[in-house]
Amino acid sequence: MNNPKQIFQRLALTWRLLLIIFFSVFFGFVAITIVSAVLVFKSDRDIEGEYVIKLMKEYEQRVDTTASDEQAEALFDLYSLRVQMYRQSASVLFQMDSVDHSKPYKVIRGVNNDEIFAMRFNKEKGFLEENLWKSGGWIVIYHYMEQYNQVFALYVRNNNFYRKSDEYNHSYIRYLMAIWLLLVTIIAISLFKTLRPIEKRVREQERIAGELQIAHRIQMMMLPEAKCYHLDSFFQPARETGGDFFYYVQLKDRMLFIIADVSGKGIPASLVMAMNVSRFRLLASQKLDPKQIIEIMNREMLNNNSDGQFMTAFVGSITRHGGELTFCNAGHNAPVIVGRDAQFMDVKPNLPLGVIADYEYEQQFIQLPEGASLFCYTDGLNEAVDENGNFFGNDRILSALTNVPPDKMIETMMAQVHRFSGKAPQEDDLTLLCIEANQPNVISFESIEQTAQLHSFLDHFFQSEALDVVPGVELAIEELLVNALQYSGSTSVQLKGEVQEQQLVFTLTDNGTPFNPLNAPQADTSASVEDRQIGGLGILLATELMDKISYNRINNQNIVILCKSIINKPMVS
Amino acid sequence: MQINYQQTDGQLIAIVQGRLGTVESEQFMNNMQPLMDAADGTIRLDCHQLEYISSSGLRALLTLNKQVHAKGGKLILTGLNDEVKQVFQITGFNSIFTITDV
Repeated sequence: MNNPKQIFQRLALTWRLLLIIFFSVFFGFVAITIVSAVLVFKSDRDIEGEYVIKLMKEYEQRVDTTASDEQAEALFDLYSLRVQMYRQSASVLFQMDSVDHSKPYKVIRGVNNDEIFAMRFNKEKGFLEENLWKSGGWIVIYHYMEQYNQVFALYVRNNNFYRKSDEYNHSYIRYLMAIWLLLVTIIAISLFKTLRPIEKRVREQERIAGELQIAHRIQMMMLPEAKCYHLDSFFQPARETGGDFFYYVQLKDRMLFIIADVSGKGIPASLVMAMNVSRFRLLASQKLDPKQIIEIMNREMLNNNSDGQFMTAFVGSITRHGGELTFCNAGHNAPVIVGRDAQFMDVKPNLPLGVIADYEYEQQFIQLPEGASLFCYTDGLNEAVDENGNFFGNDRILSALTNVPPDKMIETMMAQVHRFSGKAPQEDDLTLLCIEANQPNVISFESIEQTAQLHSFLDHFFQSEALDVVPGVELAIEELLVNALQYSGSTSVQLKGEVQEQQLVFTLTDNGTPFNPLNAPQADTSASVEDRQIGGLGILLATELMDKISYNRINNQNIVILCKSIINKPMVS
Repeated sequence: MQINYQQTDGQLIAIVQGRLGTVESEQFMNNMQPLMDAADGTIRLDCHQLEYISSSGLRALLTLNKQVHAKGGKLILTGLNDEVKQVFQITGFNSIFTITDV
């Protein structure tokens, strides 16, 4: 996906990874430096001493298990050699003298004429080289073997060479250490200097990303409720914010709506969008005609618009009864009328808003067929692209809408678009608006959650009948509606609202098992808190709030009719 | 539906905003824990901004009231609008709840 948000998130992630790698490498350097410093400055002799003691122990173990004098001697030779080799690895070279087996010891000569004697002595005879022993050398390996009555020892005559070799080692490694520390410091400083600006930039980007998220939420809040009775919508900007919008204002006898697309994308387009949302709200609440709204918005857009932003828009006014649609188009895509089939409306294009100040827009009128729906969209729909760069196009729009019930149109359309686009990114803002025209006051409920729509349905019902909202009606209907959904086992409950002979008549119809809510046990309203049961309260409320409730079982359907007189209820003037 | 909590003078004040219909009451039941926890003290349910209540809303309040009675606390409902008050009257809930105007 080329979504800028995702690219940015990846960038921020890469940066964090870099930082982690840098610090682990840096602290690795520091750790290595500290460890090597400790190793260098810790006495070599200690370490050598430890190693030699280890060798000695090993030798003791092995020599205890040897069977013959010769084997013990060979083992002794081996270990003396290993001690010398070890000394060699510490940068001091020794040469083996030719071994004279007749002598009770072996002489190994070091480079500085230091001598190491590997010698044996007899316990009774004492040290063969007692004077050497007393002269200040030290025995590296010393072991008395009972079975041979001999002591095996590796003897170093003097330890001058230790000091010499230590000095040699230390000075050499100290130079290396100094260079190493210098290098680490230089690397650290230079890395810090390069990474600091990157860090700043990443922080800045994070701030902007946070603000864009907020901007997105604010933009979403500017739009009206996405779904209400007889209207459904969808809005998705290509970036965090976009230039598309829709809005509707319910008036007493009609609804004014707009769908629009500001040129460009992102923040600049969304600012223009925000201005126009408020303009439309204001103009629509003044009950102007689409043409008037379009022309005022056009002039407003040209005031102080040096950036040449323009906007396509479709503004319509649809009556609550009869599906009369008055509209004015400003360069926007022609909506689709979906009835028995789906076809594009015949619309005069006119110019987009923000192009010519005194342009005269032509207003049009159409009578929508009964039960038809109006489907409006922005060019993000027909110009949605697939992975090969093909457009979604008009034909796919029409075929996606054919034979689809109004409340499923947006869902179906989005499913089609997603299938078409595949992995291709959303290039443009996308807005869909679906309005059911000329519907009788009927609504279906399939779940308890959907009962939340009852409020907007009744709102619409009372407005379309030019009545004030009658208190208690909503509660009575909700109680019986929930009862039907919960107890009749039906998948769908239909509610129809009518006004007959100064009476409100609401009919609830479901196809569930026979269930007469009026037969439910009455609640005992005088019981104490502890004994109080909740069952039956709904029916009690409904019967108290309505004038009359009746139940009938007709054609395998439960039919509950609620009536309430509206005589003496003031009509909306 | 929204509940905001305030703690004043050892009282828990819960300000209920919006509607308590079937759908919202389910949310309310799921988010009632702070109220249930405070059931041993005084809970003041500020209903000035409660627009609507159905029998499901009553059920939620009854559950809370039973808890309060069991734990020896006190539940006071304040500021019911006329429609909500009517619902309490019809169902006799006004006799089992402490309802005040302020």
